[in-house]
Amino acid sequence: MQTQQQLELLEKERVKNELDYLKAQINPHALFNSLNTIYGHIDKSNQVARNILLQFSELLRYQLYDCGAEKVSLEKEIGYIENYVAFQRLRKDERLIVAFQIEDIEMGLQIAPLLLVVLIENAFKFVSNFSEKENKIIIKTFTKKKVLHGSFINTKEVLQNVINTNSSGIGLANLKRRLELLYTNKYELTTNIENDFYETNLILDLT
Amino acid sequence: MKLKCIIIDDEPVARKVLQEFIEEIDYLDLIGQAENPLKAMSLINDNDIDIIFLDINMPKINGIEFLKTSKLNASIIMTTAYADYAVEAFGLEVLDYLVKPIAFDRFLKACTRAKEIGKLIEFGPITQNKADHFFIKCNNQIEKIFYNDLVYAEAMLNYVMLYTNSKKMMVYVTIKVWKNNYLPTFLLKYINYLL
Repeated sequence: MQTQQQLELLEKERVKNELDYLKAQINPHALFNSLNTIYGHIDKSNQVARNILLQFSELLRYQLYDCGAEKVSLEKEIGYIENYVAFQRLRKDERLIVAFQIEDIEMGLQIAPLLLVVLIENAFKFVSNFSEKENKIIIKTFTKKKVLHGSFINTKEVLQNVINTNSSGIGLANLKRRLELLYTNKYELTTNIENDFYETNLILDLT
Repeated sequence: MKLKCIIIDDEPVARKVLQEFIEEIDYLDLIGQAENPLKAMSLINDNDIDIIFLDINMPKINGIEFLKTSKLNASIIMTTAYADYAVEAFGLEVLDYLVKPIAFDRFLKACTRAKEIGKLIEFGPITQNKADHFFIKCNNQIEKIFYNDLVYAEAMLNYVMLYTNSKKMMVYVTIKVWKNNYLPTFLLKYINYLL
């Protein structure tokens, strides 16, 4: 048990170092200045492109600055997710319907950053691409008594079964590992694979 | 009345974006641009500038050093790609801190704030000694306020909103300066419950 904990600590340390190293390479200041240069070179009549760039900058800013902390405010994390969903939405056409429902969120809760977004990333990655049938992503989240409930559903193509379990395996496996590390005995992650849809449910005790 | 503003930024494209934004806002009047604070000094001194849009990372003297070493009457709005200097900048009583790339809405919000306080000038002296009132300058007028008429004061970012029984007044001074220099000790209780 002792060794297991030490290993986990070491792993945590390693991931943090890796992130710091990446950050040092990126130089956020130069990055955002460059983004601003691109912004300035987009003609002001092209509001769509300018707004996409702003949205993208916000996503990066959150990842580079706010996520250094072990915990962030849940409101902030949800703000990031909204931004993320809006940005991913831009990459798809009108055949995809995205329903993103944020219900009651209690104020003042803290959460480890970038957990939920893994499940949303997967939903966008593996959502079906039917031309005749409906393609849909449904995301629902709320908190009750300081417990976060998240449900992530995407329609899928039957053949995608194999791909789905394999390549999403990395993101999902990482997520499980982080949950195990950060929320030992305080989470429930369940997946439900049907013929035409894929569903993940996450329950996370934030007390 | 228009608010006179200048841009201090070393990058031409960054200045261009700010210029576009300023041109969208009818109460702003862009007086000039400078690629560093030193070159901006004459613009500032000759024109009674209301707002300075100030970058941080510039050759020779950076925006923060400039603020520390200059006495400026204008409202300062930081426009920078650095997220890290916000606390220090607010400590130097800047009006707002915008991180590049800046959304127009956010820029507008900062300017609206500058417009609200732009009309106000600093406090005149207050007379204290046993008097039952004090004077402040607000909207270019001297206002006489009776202590017992003062309901409460609200600390905003860098101004104070005074509420009397009959009106409210915005006074361009931070709550800290206000408490230390202008507020009679016995009035502190009015301030405390608002902070």
